[in-house]
Amino acid sequence: MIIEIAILFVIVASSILALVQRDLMRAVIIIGFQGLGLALLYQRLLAADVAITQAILGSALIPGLMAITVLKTRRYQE
Amino acid sequence: MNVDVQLWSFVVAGLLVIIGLYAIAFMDNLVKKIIGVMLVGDGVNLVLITEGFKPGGIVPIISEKLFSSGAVGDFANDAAYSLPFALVLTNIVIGASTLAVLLGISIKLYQHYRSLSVAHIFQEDDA
Amino acid sequence: MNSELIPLMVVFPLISAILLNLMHGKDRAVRVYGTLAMVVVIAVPLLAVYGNHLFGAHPAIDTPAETGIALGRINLAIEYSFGFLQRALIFLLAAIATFAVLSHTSNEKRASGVYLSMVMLSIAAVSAVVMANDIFNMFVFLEILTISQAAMVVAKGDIGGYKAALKYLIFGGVAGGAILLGIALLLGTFGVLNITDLGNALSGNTKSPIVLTAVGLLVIGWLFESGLFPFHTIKSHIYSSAKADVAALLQTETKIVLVAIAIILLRLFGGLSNMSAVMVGLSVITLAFGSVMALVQTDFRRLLAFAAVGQAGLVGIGLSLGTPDGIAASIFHAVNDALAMSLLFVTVFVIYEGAKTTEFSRLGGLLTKAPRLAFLQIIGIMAVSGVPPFNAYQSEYRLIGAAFQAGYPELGVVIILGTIVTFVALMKGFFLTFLKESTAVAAIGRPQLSNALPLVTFATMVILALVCLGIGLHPGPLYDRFADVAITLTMGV
Repeated sequence: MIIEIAILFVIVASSILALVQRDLMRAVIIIGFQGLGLALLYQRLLAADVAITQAILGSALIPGLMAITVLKTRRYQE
Repeated sequence: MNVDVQLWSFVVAGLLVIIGLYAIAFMDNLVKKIIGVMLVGDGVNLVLITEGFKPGGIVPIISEKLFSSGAVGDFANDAAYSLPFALVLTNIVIGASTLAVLLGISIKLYQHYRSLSVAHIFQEDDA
Repeated sequence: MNSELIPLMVVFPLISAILLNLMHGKDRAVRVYGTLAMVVVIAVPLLAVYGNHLFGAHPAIDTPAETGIALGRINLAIEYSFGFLQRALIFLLAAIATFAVLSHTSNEKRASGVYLSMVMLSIAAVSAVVMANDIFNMFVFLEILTISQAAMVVAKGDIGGYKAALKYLIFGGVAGGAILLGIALLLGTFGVLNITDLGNALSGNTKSPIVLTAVGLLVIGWLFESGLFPFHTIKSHIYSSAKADVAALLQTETKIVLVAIAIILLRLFGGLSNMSAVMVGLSVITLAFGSVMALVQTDFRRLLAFAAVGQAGLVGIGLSLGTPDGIAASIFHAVNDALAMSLLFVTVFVIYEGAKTTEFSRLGGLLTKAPRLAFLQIIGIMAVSGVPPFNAYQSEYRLIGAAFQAGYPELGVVIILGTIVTFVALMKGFFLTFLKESTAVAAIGRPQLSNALPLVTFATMVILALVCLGIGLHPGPLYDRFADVAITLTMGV
């Protein structure tokens, strides 16, 4: 129970933290933690199959795509 | 205590949707707007997952052992509701593809405008 | 009852989309396969037998007591139902899409496999939305539709298209989230996704706050997908940023999706008068905004885009009334308007190809250069704005009649006013393009406009004009069938 509450806290905190960064690369890395947190939460909520997909997409693929975007554009928000 | 988890994860889902909508509406940077779209999708996914969750239940995956031990009936009683999980699986993939298209478009817009600021990109046309 | 051809209407375009994507770069293969695929896409809805298709052939079963679902029988399989309405709408879509594909393969030097694959994807998505008797299936294909439409707009390659697509996708993400949240609430309350089952479970249960929230969220999704009031500028931006053949396809798809989702909403929440009131109100606002904003545009494509959005509001009015007459007239008007608007978009496409602009300040005096085009365009304008011998007159007249019969004569007046404004706006466009004295175009001096109309484009315009005239002279066969559909629909509610 304590684990779930901690994960929930991480999810909300990392979402907000990612949005307030001025360095976009840092925002992308933090959003990866949000994806990982969601995957862990799905696992705790008995959705093991969804957790696997979310772990791959949310913590690797989507941040990867976003990182490519940031590399191809500009790193710091104007 | 488990009931609390369900309640709080609904609250977190609502928070994610609100944070996402805030980012879409008020953030100027394109990447952050796209993160907002992703957060809205994540919030909706979390609602569905929490709906399927059963406090004290087990993961709804049938194994060989269940059949041989004859505990399939217990399994049906204990397992979480797996239909919403299937919906979430679909939605995660759809969300990822939308995101990929959005990121591609924003790279193209950056190459033209040399900026990721929405205020700058949509400056001239206000119709 | 299990017709094997029904899933083919969705599966075949999906497979074609994948194949065309792989063929990209091999010019000949793309052309040949694209053309052949369109023949199949047109033929299948005509050949398929009416009926329901159950995926996996899982039958309906008596509900096990432990599930806690308050229904006697539930459907286990995802169900596609195919009747006259579905056949008409899918055939209309296939016809307009064929034009888009043919005009691409005949006008472009290199046929793009990716672009054709996006056209195929959107055909599959719209067909599925029209046929699906499963609310989650509807959602999935709406999302696919949004992505493929954005991709088709981007295909034009200029920066305006990218901007429009970006806006469309961001709002599409939010609207998709709203629809899925509505579905999640309904699933959590009733435990079923099949629309027939859900309608049965909902009958008499529509007053709980959860259901009302779900209704609100689904209506938001409907408004976005059909480009009604709060989202009308996004939709018109999409139309005016796309190439005109794409715009013709997009507005056809939008009208079909509008009808399909509105029917689903009526089947689910037919008894809810609040929902109808909101839907009617927003449709009226869309009609007013679309028509009036069309009037003040200085670019022919944007003018047409807003006129198309305004006409979508007109379709929404009749459907939201929920009476058999209103529904039948609205479906009929959706078909008529999709045809006539496509004709107009194609004529403007020809002007754009010739003069490389559709700004009114740089156009004028084209009547002597392109008399055939002017004639076809005036037919299109009359057809869209409901001038008697053409098709939209028949449907608008029935729509006004339905509004009177439902006890809202004011709506009849609004419809007439909206139609007049649309007519004035379109005639303004016609005047400024063809009749106004201008030296600007003479300086541009494009010979294309005067002699060589591409054959495919010209043939399409003539066919569309003839169909508009034909339906206008003989509305009976089509309208009567739609009336039957509407009556069975309202009986079920």
